[in-house]
Amino acid sequence: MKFSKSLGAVLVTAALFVAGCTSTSSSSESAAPAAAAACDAPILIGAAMAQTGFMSPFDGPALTTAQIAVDKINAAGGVNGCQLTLEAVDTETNPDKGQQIATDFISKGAKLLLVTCDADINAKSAQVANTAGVLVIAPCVGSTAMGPDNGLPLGFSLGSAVPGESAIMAEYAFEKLGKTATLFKDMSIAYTTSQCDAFEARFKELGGTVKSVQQFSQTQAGKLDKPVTAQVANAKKDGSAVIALCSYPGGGAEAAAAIRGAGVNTPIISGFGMDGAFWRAADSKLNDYYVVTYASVWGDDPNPKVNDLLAAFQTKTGGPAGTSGLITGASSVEAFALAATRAASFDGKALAGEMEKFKNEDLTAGPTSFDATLHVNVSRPMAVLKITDGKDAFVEYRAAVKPTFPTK
Amino acid sequence: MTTRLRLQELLGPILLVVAFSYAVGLQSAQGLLIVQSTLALFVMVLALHVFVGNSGVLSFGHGAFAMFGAFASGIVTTPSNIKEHSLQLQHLYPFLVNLNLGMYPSLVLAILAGAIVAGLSGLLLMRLNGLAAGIATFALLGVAYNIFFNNNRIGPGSQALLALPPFQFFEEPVVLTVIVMLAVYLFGISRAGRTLRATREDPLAAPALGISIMRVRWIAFTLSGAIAGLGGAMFAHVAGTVQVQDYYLPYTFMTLSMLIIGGGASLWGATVGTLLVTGIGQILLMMEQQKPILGIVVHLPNGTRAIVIALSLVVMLLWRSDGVTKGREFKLGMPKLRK
Repeated sequence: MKFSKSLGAVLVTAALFVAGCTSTSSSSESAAPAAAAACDAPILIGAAMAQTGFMSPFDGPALTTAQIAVDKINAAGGVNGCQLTLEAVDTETNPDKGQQIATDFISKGAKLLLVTCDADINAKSAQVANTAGVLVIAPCVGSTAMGPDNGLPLGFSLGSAVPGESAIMAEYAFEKLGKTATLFKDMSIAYTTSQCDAFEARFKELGGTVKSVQQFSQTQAGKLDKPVTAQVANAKKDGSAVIALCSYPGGGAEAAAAIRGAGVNTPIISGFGMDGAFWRAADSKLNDYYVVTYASVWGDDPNPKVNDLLAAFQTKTGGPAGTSGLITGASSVEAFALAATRAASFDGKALAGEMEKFKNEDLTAGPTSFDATLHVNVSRPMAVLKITDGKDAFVEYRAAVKPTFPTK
Repeated sequence: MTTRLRLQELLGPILLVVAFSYAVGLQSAQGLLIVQSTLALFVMVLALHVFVGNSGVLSFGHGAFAMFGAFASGIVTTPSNIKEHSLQLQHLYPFLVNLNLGMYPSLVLAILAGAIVAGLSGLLLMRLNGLAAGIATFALLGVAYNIFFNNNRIGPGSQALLALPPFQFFEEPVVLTVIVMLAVYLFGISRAGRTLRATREDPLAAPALGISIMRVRWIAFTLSGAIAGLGGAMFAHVAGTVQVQDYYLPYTFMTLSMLIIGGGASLWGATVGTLLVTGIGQILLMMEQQKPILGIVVHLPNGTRAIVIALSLVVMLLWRSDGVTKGREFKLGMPKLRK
């Protein structure tokens, strides 16, 4: 009996592995007919992004617009005579799964890996591509984590990073809303803490006064970990001209509701984290709330490329865009195509080299620049939106006068 | 109960692990990743086996030792120019910025870090039994998590440390794992290992025989802390990156499940459990991703993998609480002859 049990366990285990690992995928869709002779097969773009999990509201729409951009480029004849094909596998916002999916794409010969819009969640998958010498782009990472300073020389983000975003928030607030500020600093993720830090630095530099910094946190499930009653009371006492709310929904939405609920009607300003109307009730009467973000998804954006993309998105998904971060998905593919055309190659190093030379390139996300150390945008203009009676309206595009980096 | 070295008990698991590594790891890049991650997790399972399996006291705290090991090894192998320029690392202690070690010295450091943290915390924790021990070790994990999450003088805080050097050769993690298996087995049959199991079997009789429960548990806890430190560091180098979330609840749950499903009391159980859970996990993952398995495509909804592993843990605990192997060591079942 023992023989059969021990041996059985060995056999079962061995069988599982053989079954688990020998078969390879043969189900990849046949791509659009390859046009030119330059390519035997279409160029693969792999997307190890989150279609479920807490990153999916950011990743999902960006992935859709990446596909829209691929279709558009293919229809125009492709890149270097090659058609592009985009394949996506859901990482479920799980870094380990992302790592495995990235490995899969790289071994299938992907020339571009698109990864999740969060530098911590995408660290493992980005590392896989970077090690293999493949260009890796996170459409909307808002930190400066993608790039050579963090050991990712082949990593880029098409997002607008915090040093620029926060400077725009501070400059707009100082110029239009008032000289005193109270900060609501969400301590749960690096994006929001660095956002408030940079806001504070820039606001003070301009001559403004930060009366107090109110800290709070939210859980992974996106709920405040405790009520912000005391913080709101402090803000009321401050009587500042503006409140900078560095957060994201749902905890950020709860904090905003708590501020207004306590009768504090001070103008509030937030970054891309609070873009979109999904966190407000349909009959919201929210007033005097400003959001600095990529673009306006409300039909009033002055950039025709943005509106074209939004229309294509609506056609493809049957619904309107939730937040404007989605334009970075299309821009990631546009940047890849532009770099590949200039490099006349799909080699990761050559592509990264060309991208580092980008100077105000005309992408859907706006004029985009990189350099040898900074692989994310801090000087690209961003849209300022104002919410009145629960409705968003475009105010202006503005670039940071002085992007503000954390100092030693 | 094992008291002396039986070669097949040692060679059986080792051969299985080596065969698995070569059969799967040399097939493809994904195979290599699966093997390297599995071996890194397996070393952690072995660490749990040394303490949990032999003492019968549950520990949720070993992720803390893995965390210390991973960050110790990670921060000294990250290239200095990255430590100087990365915005996430700008608050590092200057001596850490300039400290650069090779992969193997860093692994020794990881082992020491795990051992020291386990040794010191064990002085207090080993006084506890049962539920209290489980909760206290869990608290230890929480403390370690918060130290690394919030202290950006010793690491990247809540963010990821990138650009750790990977293993150069396929054989490196395999050899490391085999060495750990050897150490774990030798501990199991040593005097300390035997007396520790005696305390597990009968905590009243063992002290009557002159065994200090606290002392033998402390020895095992420290050794398993050292191994967990190594396991954590291996996990970090396989991924090329380390962040504090990697060693928190999912990691703890996954490695404990592997141990319990396989059978915590034996090296064979730890081995079978790790490979079984990995194998089933991979198959379910392929189904979730709608990849064909032996030509057949079965589509399962996302998350099935996590549910199946959790349910199989429940099933094991209910009906076979000593695991698939019943906690026995590997034994080629020759027909029993009269001794």
